[in-house]
Amino acid sequence: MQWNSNDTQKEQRDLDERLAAYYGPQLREQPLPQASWQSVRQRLTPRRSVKLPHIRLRQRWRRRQRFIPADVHAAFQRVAYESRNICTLAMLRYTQKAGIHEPAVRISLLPRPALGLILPREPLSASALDVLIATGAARYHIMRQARALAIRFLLTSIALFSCMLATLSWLYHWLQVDIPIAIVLCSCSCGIMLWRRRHTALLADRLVVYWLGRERTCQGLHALADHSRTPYRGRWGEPSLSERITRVCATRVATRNGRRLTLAR
Amino acid sequence: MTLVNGNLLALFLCSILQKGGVDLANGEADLIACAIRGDQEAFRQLWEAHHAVAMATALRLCHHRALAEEITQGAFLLAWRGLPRFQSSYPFRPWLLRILYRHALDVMEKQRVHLQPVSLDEIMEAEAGFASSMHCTHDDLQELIAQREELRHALARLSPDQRRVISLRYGADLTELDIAQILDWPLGTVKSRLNRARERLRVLLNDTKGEGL
Repeated sequence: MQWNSNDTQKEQRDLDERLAAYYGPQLREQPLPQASWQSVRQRLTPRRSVKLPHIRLRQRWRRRQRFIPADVHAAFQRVAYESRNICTLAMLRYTQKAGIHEPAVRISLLPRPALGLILPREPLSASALDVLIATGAARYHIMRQARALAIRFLLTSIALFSCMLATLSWLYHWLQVDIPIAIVLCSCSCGIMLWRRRHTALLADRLVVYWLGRERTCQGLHALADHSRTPYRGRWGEPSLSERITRVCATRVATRNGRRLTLAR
Repeated sequence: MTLVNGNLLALFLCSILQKGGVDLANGEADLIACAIRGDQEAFRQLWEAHHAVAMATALRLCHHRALAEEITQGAFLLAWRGLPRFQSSYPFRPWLLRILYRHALDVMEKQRVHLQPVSLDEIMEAEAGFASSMHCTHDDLQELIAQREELRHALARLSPDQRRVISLRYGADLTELDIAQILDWPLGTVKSRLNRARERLRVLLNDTKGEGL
């Protein structure tokens, strides 16, 4: 009996070894060519969204919002590649408005997509799109750093607190000195926030130059300036296009439409 | 209802991950959340991270490179479709490999891989791809081919369920518990089928040896 049992165990071990040899040991990673991914991508079906009756209208609006033209998509891919995928396509929202001339990018840290691209009807050049998207991505990257977020939160809290203090002091006739203090605090915090916004924009430009290169950034900024009616005027707390061109390009050139941003030297 | 909850949870998760400055742009959880929403670029990054391991796993099971590639692609397509049901608290690769194992076994049965002789080129390629390299002489290679053919004939005479269990046990080094989870069988069923498969293989190989003598 024992001899039969030993014999059986030996046979089992032999069989295990033969089966292990048949399948072989674990293989090294086997990377596939790019064509393999292309084959998979062509067969990826669009994600079917869950249709709930009461949010159907909102979904239709969101579907319109999610449409991104091919040139914007291509520009985003270029920027994502250069910036080592700082942001994903899911963060981009595209809107085209008839009444505007100057393209813009809005950055949001709230729970909605981070980069809102607002473009006019007339098409933009590739370099302008690249710079616009890269500017948005760079500003987003800087703004979401922990230090920047903490300072922003602190300043916003001070501004809100001082507004509340001023309101309550006026309503309940507290100390006379409260209202001026509150006004000063609120003004200072708003002033600092504007200064930080400008500082972020200038830092972001440096990041854009690092990603895209100075020449391409300059071309893009000049192309954006061509679309702007007021390149000397910046948005609240942001440097103007002309200032950005001066800082980035360190050269001064005339714009295409004849308005001179520069002086010939 | 489960699908609805899963989709809403994924949307919520994606929005949570994108707010508040948490840097998860390259994190797998972020990629999965975005892929659930239909972002093919995010899914491409998952492909880049995991396809090589999936291909190695499939190749070890089926020994045919073209078939292994087909299995890998199929597994990723199934993963794309099944992503809304994926629980993001778990790691992605084991889930993907579970899909791959089931898909590989189905494809191999459908294409009757066990009836196709293994080619010399594929054996040489597999030898080169092994983690520990084995240097075979010509005689060793002939012997290896003969043994493989003998075992392949024996595996072809098992039932499909017995072949599945053997493939996962020896081709993927899975435990009986893992096999039970992947195939969705009771543990006792896996053990009994594995034992019967081994017994049957022993008998078949002994018969073959006897005929050879």
